Amino acid sequence: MIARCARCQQTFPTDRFGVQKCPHCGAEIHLADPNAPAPPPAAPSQGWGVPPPPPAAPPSQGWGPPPGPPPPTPTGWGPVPPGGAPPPPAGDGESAPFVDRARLGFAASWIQTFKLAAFEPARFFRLVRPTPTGSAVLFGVIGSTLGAWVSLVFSYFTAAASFGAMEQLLRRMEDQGVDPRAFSWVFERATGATLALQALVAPLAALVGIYVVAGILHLVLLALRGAPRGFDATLTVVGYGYGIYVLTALPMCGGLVAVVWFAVVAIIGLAEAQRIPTWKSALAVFSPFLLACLCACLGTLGFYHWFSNLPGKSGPTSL
Amino acid sequence: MTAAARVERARPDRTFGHAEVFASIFALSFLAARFLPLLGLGYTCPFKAATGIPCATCGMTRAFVHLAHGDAAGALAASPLGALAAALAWAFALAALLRMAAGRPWPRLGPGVARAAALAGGAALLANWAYLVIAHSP
Repeated sequence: MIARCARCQQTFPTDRFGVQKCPHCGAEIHLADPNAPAPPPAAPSQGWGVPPPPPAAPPSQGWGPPPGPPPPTPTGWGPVPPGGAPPPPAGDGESAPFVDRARLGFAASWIQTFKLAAFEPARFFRLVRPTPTGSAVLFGVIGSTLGAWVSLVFSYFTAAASFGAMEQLLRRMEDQGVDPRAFSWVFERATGATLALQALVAPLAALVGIYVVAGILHLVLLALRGAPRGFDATLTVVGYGYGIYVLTALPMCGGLVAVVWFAVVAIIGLAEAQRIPTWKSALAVFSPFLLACLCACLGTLGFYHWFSNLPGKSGPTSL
Repeated sequence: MTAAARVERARPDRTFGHAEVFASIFALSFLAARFLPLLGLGYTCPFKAATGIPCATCGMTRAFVHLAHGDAAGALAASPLGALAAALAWAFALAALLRMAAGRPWPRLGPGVARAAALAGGAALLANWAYLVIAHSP
């Protein structure tokens, strides 16, 4: 018989039921026997709250010969069966709490969604409905803008101290032949007027950033054959993931923490939302960094070549 | 076919979706390149400042600004891919505007076409970078 993996949506031949591994994505899941006694009725959707204890888990229903049994019932927010892959949602999945902000309250739904996206990205992006994407984009714009605003206020009050430290650093770098304009540019423009302008532009920058990042990630996923659920799924992951940029409000290390955390959430989220192996999503997220590494390698080689051609220098021994 | 179905098919398609958001971003990029003094900001690529070698996206801003001012030769010299990307982006923005005005749907692209375009874009980025390294390295 032909079975379809509910995680990556690929089909493969198999001659038995029960727990087995998908040869495409490696997910370990349960292929239900259609001749077995009927399972108990599926538990109703649990919403985005705390999952019920393990005994309440409905059996995994995402597997089976494609033309055979009726479509699986909704699995809700129950826990993952021990030792098995988490069941994918039936149909389109669940709406994120932020979609239901009119009922839950704006701030409460944002915080609840942030907790799910940041701390349970695998569960959240496996189950969340990828359409409509407007709420995901709005969520990301709000988080990123709030973070940027607080960060700008902090920058305004610490600009003088930053100038002093940067001046010392730039003087040293200039002695080593490094063009200091590349770095002093940022600090020279950290005035009140430009910071206010940045605050005004922050929401638009966040919106553009979400779409540009989603576009780049989706292009790489397309090249890797890793976007079976379309651009909506990618944009949903980036939109909800972008909410993590609210952490840029943390002084000093907030920006770095947000970048790293976003990368982790994006890797997990893209793998789950697009139903693809994690290496593909990791490659998509890290491709700009890999390009930067390639730049660095080439730059090192170029610098070495340039240095070895200087008068009086003749290769590695001169270094 | 029923009358209701005929009316449904005749309705113009003026939806504002992802493609239109990207078109708006591309249009904004034209306005920024045309009217903001981007080259006067004095920004220098940190990677090039540190190593003397251009990074993969060096020259993109100059290419957009030159092309927005009608200087195609200057744009191509700054970054061939930047000039091509700017031209394609603004053509896409114009196409989106015309599509909405005409109420016509976007042509459907198969996954094979989209994948080929993505691969071609990656190859073009690497080729452009090789050109920049050869043309602008010390």
